Amino acid sequence: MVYFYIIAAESSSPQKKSNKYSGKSSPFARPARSTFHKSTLSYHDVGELQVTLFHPLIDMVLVPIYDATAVNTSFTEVLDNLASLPRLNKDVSNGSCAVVGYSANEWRKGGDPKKRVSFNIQWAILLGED
Amino acid sequence: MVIPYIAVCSSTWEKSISRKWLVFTIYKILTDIISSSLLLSAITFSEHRGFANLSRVDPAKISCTRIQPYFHYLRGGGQIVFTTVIVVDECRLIEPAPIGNARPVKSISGGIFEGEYERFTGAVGMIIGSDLFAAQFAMDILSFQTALFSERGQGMCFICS
Repeated sequence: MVYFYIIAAESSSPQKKSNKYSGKSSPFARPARSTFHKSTLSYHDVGELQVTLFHPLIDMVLVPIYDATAVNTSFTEVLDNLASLPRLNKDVSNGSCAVVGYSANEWRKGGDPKKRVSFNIQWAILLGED
Repeated sequence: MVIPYIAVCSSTWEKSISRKWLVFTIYKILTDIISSSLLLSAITFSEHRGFANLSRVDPAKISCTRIQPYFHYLRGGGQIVFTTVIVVDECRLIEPAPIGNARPVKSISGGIFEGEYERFTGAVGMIIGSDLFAAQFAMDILSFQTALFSERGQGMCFICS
């Protein structure tokens, strides 16, 4: 799953901002202490952060559904010529028979000793539809 | 050649109405729609190039380590793409299902054939070296997704050794 974030920072010139406090003490100035060297934080900049999440791009994770209803060969030949099978543009209906291609991963959550297995789908082949 | 296999399946599946419906559906698919040779070869398929059937492949050939947490061959190579024949229960591959405020997930779930399910869970347990693990099981319904599953809704699988 890929997320794209666009971060746009709007900033204006520090010179303009500092003009606001000309003749006044800056609210960001650290008060002077007698025992330490006086250091003053100058007003630098104010940025406005905009974070936008593009949900439509999530659909770019493509899980093809191949149609093998008209195929009458062995399954190994189907796997060899997987890309040549026609593609379906609709979800498979309930009760249909299909082959699912997936990868398996093992993972753990935090310090939990229990092992977890996830099955991440790569493609599906429709064998017959009800 | 397939019919006796399905008959074995039906002996345990007819415990509920849904199971009867499932058996009926499979009978209907077998007799009317699917090429029996393709279905049989898909069920009994073991391994071919980078593909393998978890229910049929020798689990001693497959490894899963902390460094390489994906299932891969001991002899080397990348991730294995496993194949499993299912009777579809729900398919959301084209239109992903929204899950609350979380990102949408493409998924397909379905029942595995009787006998294949036991082999499947046994092979997974042997590969990860654990007789207790959590996966997307609910009875004999398996779920495959494009993302890791959440804590909520996961099933537990116990393998008695």
